[in-house]
Amino acid sequence: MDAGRAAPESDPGRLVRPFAIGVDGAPATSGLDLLTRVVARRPPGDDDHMRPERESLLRLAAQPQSVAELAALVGLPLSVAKLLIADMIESRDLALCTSASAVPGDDVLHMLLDGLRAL
Amino acid sequence: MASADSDNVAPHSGAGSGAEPGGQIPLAVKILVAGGFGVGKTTMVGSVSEIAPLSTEEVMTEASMGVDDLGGVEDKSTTTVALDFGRITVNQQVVLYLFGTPGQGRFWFMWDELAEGALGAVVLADTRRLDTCFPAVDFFERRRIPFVVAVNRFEGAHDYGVEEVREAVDVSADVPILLADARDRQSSKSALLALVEHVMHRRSPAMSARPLP
Repeated sequence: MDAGRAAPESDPGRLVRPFAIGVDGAPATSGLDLLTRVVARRPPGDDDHMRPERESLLRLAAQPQSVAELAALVGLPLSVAKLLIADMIESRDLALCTSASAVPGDDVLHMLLDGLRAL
Repeated sequence: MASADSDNVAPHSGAGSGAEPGGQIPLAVKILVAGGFGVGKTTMVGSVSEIAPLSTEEVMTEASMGVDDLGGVEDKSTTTVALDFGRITVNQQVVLYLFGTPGQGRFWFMWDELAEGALGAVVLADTRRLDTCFPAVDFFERRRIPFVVAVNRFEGAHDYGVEEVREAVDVSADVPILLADARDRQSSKSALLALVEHVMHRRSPAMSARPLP
């Protein structure tokens, strides 16, 4: 372990202590699946840098983004990301875009065919 | 931000698609790329994805995953399951996500969530160890999820014919089997096309445009 290593001479940038991620209670994650899309209701604010994962999520979800992509981009295990996202939906920092991935109709299948052929 | 009152954000409410800025959200379609460990799932995802494949993981403990239990997780035996995926923007209305399913059989628990709402699956097979694709084939057959079998052609592997593979894997005659190279974008694209055509065929035999090549 390198816990006792001296700090580097060069400017390490903003340093943040490795706090645990706090989530109040146990928000329901059952409505969230991998392809649920969420969008930020607000840009990250001055207070958010104390909670870097939430700050990142607000930034990454400026445009609608899937739960799977958010988890990967923030680097959190899926179940943890889901908890955090559910909590941020409850606190109205994020909003759901769609409920879940629906089974696509025939029109969508035709679009898929055309789109894949054009790749 | 607009419409702060109009959508109630309870996770189950399905708050509605048009409630937020940005208007219409594209429909997300999910296709799974399954098969045994090391058969080329992530390679195939990467060869057609418009983004470098992303990886997320699920950390599992042997204890039940009670939310209030997380404090003691470090004392339990944990397993990490990596989940790789990619994305193809089909058009403004449809986005296709490709998920490489964890290969090892002990990760079945993740397959259920992955399979939920999936359009279908490409099962990658390696002729040097065909049996590694059997669990995936069984899984999709049992759940009536449409799939095609793509035989990934590895260097040094004997080239079997499609019918030989069909016999060995024992899938029904209407399941398309094709030879593929997971590294090749066109080849992976063909596998996805074969799957979409198969899904259309299953829904309505009359609407299938033409037999698969």
